[in-house]
Amino acid sequence: MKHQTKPTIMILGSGHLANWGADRINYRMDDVLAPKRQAELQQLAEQLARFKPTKIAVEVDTHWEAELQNEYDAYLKDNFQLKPHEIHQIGFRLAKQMGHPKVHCVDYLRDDPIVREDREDHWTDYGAFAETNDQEHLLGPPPTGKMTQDEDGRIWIEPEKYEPIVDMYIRENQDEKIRTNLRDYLRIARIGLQDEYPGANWVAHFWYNRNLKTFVNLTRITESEDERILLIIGAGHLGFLKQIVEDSEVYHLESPLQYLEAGEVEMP
Amino acid sequence: MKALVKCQFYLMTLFVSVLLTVGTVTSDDQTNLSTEDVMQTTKKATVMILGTYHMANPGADAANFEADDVLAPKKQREIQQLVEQLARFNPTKVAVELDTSLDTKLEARYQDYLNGRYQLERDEFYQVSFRLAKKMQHPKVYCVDWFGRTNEEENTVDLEDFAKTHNQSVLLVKVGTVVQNMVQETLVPLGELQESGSVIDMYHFLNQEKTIRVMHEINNVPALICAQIGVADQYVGVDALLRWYERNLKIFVNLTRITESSDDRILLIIGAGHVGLLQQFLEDSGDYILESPLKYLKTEDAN
Repeated sequence: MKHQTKPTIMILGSGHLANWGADRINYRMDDVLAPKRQAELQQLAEQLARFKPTKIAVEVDTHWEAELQNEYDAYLKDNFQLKPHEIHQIGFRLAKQMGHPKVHCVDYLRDDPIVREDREDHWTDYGAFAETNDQEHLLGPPPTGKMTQDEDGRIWIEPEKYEPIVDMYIRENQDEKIRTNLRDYLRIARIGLQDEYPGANWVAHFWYNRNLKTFVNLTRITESEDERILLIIGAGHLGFLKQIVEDSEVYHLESPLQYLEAGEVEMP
Repeated sequence: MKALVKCQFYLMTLFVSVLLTVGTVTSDDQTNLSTEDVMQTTKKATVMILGTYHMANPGADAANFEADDVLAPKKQREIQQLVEQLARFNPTKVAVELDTSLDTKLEARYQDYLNGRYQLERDEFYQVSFRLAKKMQHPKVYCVDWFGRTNEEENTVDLEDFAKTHNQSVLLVKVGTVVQNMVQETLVPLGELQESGSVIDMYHFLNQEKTIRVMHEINNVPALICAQIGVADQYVGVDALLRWYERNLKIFVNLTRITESSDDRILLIIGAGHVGLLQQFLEDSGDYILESPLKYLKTEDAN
């Protein structure tokens, strides 16, 4: 509206590069520390570098700022082995390449019903509610693909074929994927009956809240109109976060697809 | 106008929905659905949202739109005409901005109205909804609003004070600018139409794409600016926006709960400030066809 120039933001939706099986259903990923994957990650970082980020923000609660800084400082001194997750593999790698003094934490996880013990379970435990009230269809379609189950009962979806990392990112950041993502959350919101809204309570007070505060944290690290912030975050956040960023009119929003699809950086 | 610069004021309007609160994007016909979506919509229920002003407003707030007495004979004729036009949408259900806990009471009152034992009061949910529901021979009018019954503690922080003490007054100034623009672009022309035009003219204005967009901005831009008020672990502006979001999300959920089949054609009559966000939910859900009321609202000029 009034702004002639605005800072720029690019949100890179990410899958889990290292999946240790935190969810009931998990996607199997091979070891990204293997040489071939490392080369792909290096390639990805070089493609993203063309965005010329002035700051890189990652999905880590702001409470962990100091710890992340220690790790990053050690990494800059070649004194730290990157762990196989996207925060290190892409965030740290790219930040170092760009000569950044730090990597920024912008997540807010403290309202998670698992963390907030002052909340009664029935208030936000939409999964249990859906199961006892015949609303499982609102939890979303069951996963497809080749599945295996481990000793602890976790389900793993096995990859059908080898997929280069850049292709994974292209897939995760498609508009259609983001639309499906929004649709899934609005379906979860419907879980409930009469004056009970466990689905909507969770979507509003946890998920939307978290994304709103992530946005606020982004504005807090934005220092000038020349800022070009790259946020690396779980692809599930893309739907709400993009809407919040767009509605705020604070940033120019760039899609990562143009960088992801550009292919290898050519030698000059 | 000074009062309008207050972030706090603005947030108040979020809750009470004093304003003709509104939202995103509509197009004249079938809102924003891509061709691809339309192809797949054969089995979806239809929703039409009529953004309204509050006909019986309490007039307690600086930003309230001052509605003329809708019981005056001229207004009554115009409301009748509005109802005739809305009837062409063939609604199967009419939903209104009242908390779901009032459903039984509203139903009883509607029965009284059908039996000639209740004289319509000034509120739009009586003036427009009851008349329309009766015309369509509906057995009831549906309450779909949700007023906070959460166990979340209330946010008692004074945003204005907070912003000043934390050197964030620049954010308040931004909010003030947005609010003033919004008043210029929506409330002022609406007031002029009330003077010189008909009730239908007012609704035609309120439900235009541009008006809806401006009102979406008024509900989002200042709220998102306010959301930035706070330091370190404090996010004092966020709570208000969350409650606005929660309320509208639950209105969306309540609409899904009264949807019984793909043949349903639900007309929701609600403060214009809600329209944008609700349209967003309905579109993003992929479960509804959205219709704009503009194609049913025929102003004198159009005839």
